[in-house]
Amino acid sequence: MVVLRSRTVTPQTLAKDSTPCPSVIKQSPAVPLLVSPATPPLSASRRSGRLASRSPPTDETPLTTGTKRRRRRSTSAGVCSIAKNKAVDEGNPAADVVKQEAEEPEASLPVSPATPFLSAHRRSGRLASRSPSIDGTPHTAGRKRRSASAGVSSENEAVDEGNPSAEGVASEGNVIADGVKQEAGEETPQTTGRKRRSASADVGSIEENKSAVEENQAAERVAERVKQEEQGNDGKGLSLEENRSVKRTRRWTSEEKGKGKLGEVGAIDVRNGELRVPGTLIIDEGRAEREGRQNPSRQPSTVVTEKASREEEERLKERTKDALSKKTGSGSRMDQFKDAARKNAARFAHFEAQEHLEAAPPGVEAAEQSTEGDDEKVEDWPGPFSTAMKIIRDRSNRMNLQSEKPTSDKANSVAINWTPRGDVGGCNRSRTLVPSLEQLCMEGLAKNADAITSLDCVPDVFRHRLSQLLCDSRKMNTHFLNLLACGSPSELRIRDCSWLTEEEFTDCVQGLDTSNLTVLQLDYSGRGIPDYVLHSTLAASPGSMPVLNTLSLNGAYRLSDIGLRSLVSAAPSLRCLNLSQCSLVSATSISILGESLGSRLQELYLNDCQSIDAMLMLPALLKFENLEVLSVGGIETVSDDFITCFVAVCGHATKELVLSDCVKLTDSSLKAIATACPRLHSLNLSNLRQLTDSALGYLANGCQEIQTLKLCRNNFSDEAIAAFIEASGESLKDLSLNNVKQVSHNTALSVARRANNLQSLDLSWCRNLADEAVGLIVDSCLSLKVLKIFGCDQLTDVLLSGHSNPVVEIIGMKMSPALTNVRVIDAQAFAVHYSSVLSSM
Amino acid sequence: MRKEDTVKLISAEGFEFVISKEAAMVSQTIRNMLTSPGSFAEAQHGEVTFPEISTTILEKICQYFHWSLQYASGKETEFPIEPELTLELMMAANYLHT
Repeated sequence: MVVLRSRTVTPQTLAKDSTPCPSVIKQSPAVPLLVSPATPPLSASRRSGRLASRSPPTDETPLTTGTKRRRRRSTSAGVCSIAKNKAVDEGNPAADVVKQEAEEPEASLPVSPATPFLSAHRRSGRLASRSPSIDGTPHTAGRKRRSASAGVSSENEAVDEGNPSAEGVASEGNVIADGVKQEAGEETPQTTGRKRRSASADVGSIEENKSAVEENQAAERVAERVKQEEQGNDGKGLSLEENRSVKRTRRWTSEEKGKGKLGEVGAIDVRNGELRVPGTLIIDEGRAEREGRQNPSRQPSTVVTEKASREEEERLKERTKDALSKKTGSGSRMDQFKDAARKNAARFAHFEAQEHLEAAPPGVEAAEQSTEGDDEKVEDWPGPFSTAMKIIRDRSNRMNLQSEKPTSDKANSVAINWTPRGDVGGCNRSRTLVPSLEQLCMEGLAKNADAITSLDCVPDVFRHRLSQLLCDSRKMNTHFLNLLACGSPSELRIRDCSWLTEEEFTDCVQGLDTSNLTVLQLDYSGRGIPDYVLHSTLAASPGSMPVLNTLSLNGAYRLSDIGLRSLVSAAPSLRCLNLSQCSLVSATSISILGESLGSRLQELYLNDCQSIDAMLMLPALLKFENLEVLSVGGIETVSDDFITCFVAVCGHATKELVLSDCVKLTDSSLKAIATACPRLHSLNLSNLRQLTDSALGYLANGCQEIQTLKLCRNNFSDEAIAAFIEASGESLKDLSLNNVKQVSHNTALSVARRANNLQSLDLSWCRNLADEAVGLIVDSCLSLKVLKIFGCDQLTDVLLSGHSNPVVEIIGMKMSPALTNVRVIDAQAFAVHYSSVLSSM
Repeated sequence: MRKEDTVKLISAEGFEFVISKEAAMVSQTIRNMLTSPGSFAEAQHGEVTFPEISTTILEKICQYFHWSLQYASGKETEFPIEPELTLELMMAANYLHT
């Protein structure tokens, strides 16, 4: 870790910082308290215990033997308190060892047991306190406030940590969060909650990436530090504690700095695959791991004792010291906070359109001014969209005049005639509730998956469904994987390989006959598929997968450009490639793909590949002349220029574009898409705040075959969406208006009238729609199979029981299992979505 | 039951299962065979042969038909499936679209 390198613990540094306070060394006799807060510390240590077991088992370096040695010594430290707190004894087998070592001097302080609870505690507190500094707004004042509050709250947290109660952990996290919320005036609690969660999630994923790459080196470094700590331990435990706390804050800031940069060698975390809050003590975790391995149940209780006694007095003294050192030591630390916040802001925060515009460079504003001229042009063209817009506007104006309602009340400006007729649909609906025999059998198989001995005659469709069911219920294991790999399978799909380790993967794949493999899906397999494993198995020889046309390695965060190169040489007839969330894949990989696959590649998914710079990969992308699906959601560097250049060359073949979260895009890219992609079938424009109604106008005029349109949090007006549906609603099969706030009765009328082929409609969070509007839609759209209305509190049972559509499934009014609504590639759909596989062979 | 109300399902081994038409219509495939406008031989004779489905499986399927009617009329019980039959039953159920 960068931080630790900068400030190693030596006896000299200890001597400098220490203000020993002998009174603190005594242990608190609070025995009964120990038993209660068992759970969070327990989970923390168990977590760290599990951590230990997950670390690579092949790693039999001197490190592990060293740690065993150290473990025993540090256990003795905890012994003193253990002996006193018999209530805590949960029959741990190491009790004998512990008692023997009780003779060791008490001077070796029980510093270590403090750690699991400490880290868990701090982890939760840090989570809350750090996130505000991560998610930035363009308002610097707000940011300063928040970073100041982060500093303050960390100190508060330090004080609060004196409180040994388990409830304190959770409530403290909440208190800090509330404090942050109050200070974050401009954001709603929802967004901060989301930011915090996404901040921590993103932090975790970034950390995972880095940790996976550099774990061994980091582990050795930690071992060194731990050794040094041990030396300085005797009689100086208190100063160590203080030192550590001072170091703690500094470590936090450098980690913050490191967090924003991917691929930076220094900023790494020791454990792999664990969601880790960067602010926690590495040393503590190291000890917690060793402790956890031996006495998972006993240590936490001793931890509490130590903390209770020492922390209270320590913190009070240190708090002032910390505050001083932080403020004086760096204004630069504040700058580091700000830098990190600036870098990470766009990824975590959902900006309002106006805020984002303020932060945008002047170049963007100039571009927008030029599009304003185009705005009027769209409306003036005698196209279907503009006529529809006029009609709708006239209609709402007429309604306003007739009813004499205030024009601000636009939600009710259009009358909707719909009366619920419940009795017709009643008896029909019950038929859909009977579980089908297929489903029953599938569930039975999933339950007894371990008893299946062979899948020989089972067609691929069933294998996929079974595999999916097992992955969803976390029962997927090597046994089933081997069943799937038996014989010479033509398709191998595993939706969730997060349980797969490197050894298991190697064992399975070495026996796999890939000569007939056409589809290979190993999603979320980051843990088990680093480059070197690929080199020895799947990608061992060029052309080892001659007929592979679909490869999905979603979430393979250890896959780098080199690994991809060997994979591509092993699968020369690849047509569909999914590299979403592969954070090490960069523009170089795209060049590699361009050279080797060129016009053969038809589908490319690169969602959330953070290392890819859009403009750098553009020249390579232009080589894919037949690319039908391009998915670049989440790549922030995607700009209007990128889109314009890409569709100019490859737009004739484009059938699906996923541009969600590419927040820089404006109406000009939609204009380019509309002119250059006449065969566009599916478009995802989620979270593109800068798009205005004219974007929909371009789309309606240009892309006549749109079947799937995903809008989420866009700023389109009700009339514009209604006009779009009037113009091109006939071909729509899947429409999502999730969180498009202004959707209202005009849209409902248009959908009911025009969208005859609509099969799936998402109206979640559209609060302006009343029961009548949605009822009209449901009764008029006879092809509708799925209607999602999450978050629509305004809808009542009048809708549910009053509609007369026998087929439709309404999701979102009542609780339903989460996974049933997740979109999954239909097992019966072809591997390559838009063109038949056989055509080009 | 009168003859017009029943269908005969014949398994691979030649066993014949006579069930009511309403029960057989739970399977979408059989329903299409019996009710489609073109005149299928099955519709005329009231017999459907399944050369790929074994007797035990076909028996279980007929049990499912009746269980399904019972479930739809309100009486919701569990449908027990022996583990050894599950794999074949699933494939037959998929074929019968039930």
